[in-house]
Amino acid sequence: MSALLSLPPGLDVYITLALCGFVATTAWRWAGVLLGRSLDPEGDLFAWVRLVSTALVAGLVTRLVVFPSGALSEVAFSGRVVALVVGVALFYALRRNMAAGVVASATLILAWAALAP
Amino acid sequence: MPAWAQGTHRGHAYRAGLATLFRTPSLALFGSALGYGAFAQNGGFDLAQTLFIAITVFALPGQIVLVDQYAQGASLAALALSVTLTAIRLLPMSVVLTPYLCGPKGPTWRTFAAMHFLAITSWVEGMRWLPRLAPPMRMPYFAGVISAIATSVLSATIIGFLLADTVPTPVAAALLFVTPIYFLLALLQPALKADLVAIGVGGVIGPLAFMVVPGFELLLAGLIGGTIAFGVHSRSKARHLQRPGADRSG
Repeated sequence: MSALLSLPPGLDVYITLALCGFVATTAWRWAGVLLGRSLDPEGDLFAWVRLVSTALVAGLVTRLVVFPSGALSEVAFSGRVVALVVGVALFYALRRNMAAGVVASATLILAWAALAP
Repeated sequence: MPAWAQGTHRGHAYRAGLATLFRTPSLALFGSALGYGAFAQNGGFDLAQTLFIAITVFALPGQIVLVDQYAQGASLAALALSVTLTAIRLLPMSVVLTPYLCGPKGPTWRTFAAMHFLAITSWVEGMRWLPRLAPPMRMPYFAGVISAIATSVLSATIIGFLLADTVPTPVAAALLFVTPIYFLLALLQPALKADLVAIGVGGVIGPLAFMVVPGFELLLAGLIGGTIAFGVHSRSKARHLQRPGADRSG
């Protein structure tokens, strides 16, 4: 991303990160403090917002699995899908135990990357 | 109820909040922040930038989306919009938690400072404990909770970042896989029918849209998947509320 102004080297990155990170996130936290009870946290608007956020993160999950980068791209597509499916299956089998699912998935990836030719 | 909860000593309340460090939520966060550190290293960020994002954003979905979309060279507008769409959900959480962290005259600078650290884990811990405490003990207790969470997250971020750079490829691959599987399971944790629709549709659109319009795939996945899921949500809600006077929308 190119700098709009001439800034000390590296500072443009921090400004971009602060605007797209801090401002884009904490504005909502502070808006909640200021608005208080004047809005309904259980209302339709927030139901939609929550579902958009869920779908966005789900899109990120599948994209990271289908199009990985770095060390993860050394693991075959089939290996990544198997690891994901086993993680989810174990999560449900053990009454929605997240730790079990995450550890199982990561271990499978480790094994796949270590053992595959 | 312990004595500090009744409002005798603010330092005790802070230390009681700090004990969150040794409870399950902090340990879960530790694992996911390990993944975030590795993910940011893989995305080409240096350690200072990685920590800057962790502290200033302080919500894992926003951090990962920011790192991911920035590394891909998404436009500034798409970057800000994607991150903000993961963060609007913090607003209703803030509305609900704020009354416990206000003085008698309403919010102070302390309220705003504490609320910057509002994320899923701090909200759950806050909602669980703050109502049981005497009002003067709430802010110090919550300060302890967020100190514990920040300590856990930042140390794990550093460790994950350093590991990703030094460990053999299979270990690095496993670390990079923590993010997708953790997020998927976190989304499935409360999942109702509408959530499952959002996960399914968003999950299909993400990679497809990436092939056509990289840099906008998350926005498309979120807006399309979320809106379709909202249709399902509204229809099932309408079915539950089919009696006069039960509509409380708006």
